Amino acid sequence: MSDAVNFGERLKHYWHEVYYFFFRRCKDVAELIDLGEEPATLMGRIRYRLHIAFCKACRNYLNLTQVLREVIRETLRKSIDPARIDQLNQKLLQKLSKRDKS
Amino acid sequence: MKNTGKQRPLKQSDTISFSASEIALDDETMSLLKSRNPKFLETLFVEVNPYLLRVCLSNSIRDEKADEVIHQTWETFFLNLEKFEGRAQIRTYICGILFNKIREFRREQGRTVYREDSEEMFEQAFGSDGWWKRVPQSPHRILELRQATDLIEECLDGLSEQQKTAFVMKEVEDENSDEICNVLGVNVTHLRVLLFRAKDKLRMCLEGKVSAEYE
Repeated sequence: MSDAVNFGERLKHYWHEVYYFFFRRCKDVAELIDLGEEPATLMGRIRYRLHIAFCKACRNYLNLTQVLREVIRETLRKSIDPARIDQLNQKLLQKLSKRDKS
Repeated sequence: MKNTGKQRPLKQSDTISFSASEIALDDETMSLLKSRNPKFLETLFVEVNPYLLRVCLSNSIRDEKADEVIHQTWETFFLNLEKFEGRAQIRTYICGILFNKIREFRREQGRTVYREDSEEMFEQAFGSDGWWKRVPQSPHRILELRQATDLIEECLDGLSEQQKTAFVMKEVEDENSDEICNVLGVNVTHLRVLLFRAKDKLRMCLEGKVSAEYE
């Protein structure tokens, strides 16, 4: 029984080693997702994309980022009336510009 | 603005088109700013003000208050024009001034400017082996809320100024990380924590709203 447990632990250990080598860790991938960046090297990009392809949690995190971006962007753009922007621009222009006399 | 060789003074009838997110500071741009050329300013306001309004709105500053804060921001920009060395884009430089104005405004309103974002908080989300401790779930339910502007604004309210501004600049306005770090006065590690925390809070809040609305 204990041999089986040891074997299982060892397998898990080797699996993690192999996994980290090829696929990176979730923590590193989450950092890249937060900063909206992909690794600079080709190998880095392959490892990043492999991780996203195989890890459902990170895929969900990437989707969450995209969904939040879309929902908040839509809300903020919808909430601002273009007529109000024009009004603000005109007020600022009156206050801050110096008329060109030439 | 690109230098086009021989320069002549700009007149009101001239058409100016540029993107404030790409504008570079050169002698021509500086002289247009210093002379406060109306045509140039109009183009600048059209490019930059919607962005400033979105940052205000995400910080729960609306209507006349937003106008007031944006007025103060532009006044500060023109008063300190000499200090603008062109290391940042005009748009992000102005956003930096706006961010400080928002903080001042909040302080005057007696609202707390709190700090809760530490690297430790980010570390706690992952185990020692770098795997998620709490696995993120599919965000499909959040999409059900896309028409519910009020609920989304309520959730944005729950974020700190730094979290909101970092999130809006990064995700809504697609600014690059270095520019955002300059505006907020933080390093990349802290920016990452701010973004992570902002998304976590928004997710929790929006999922709560979905449950309350539809169950």
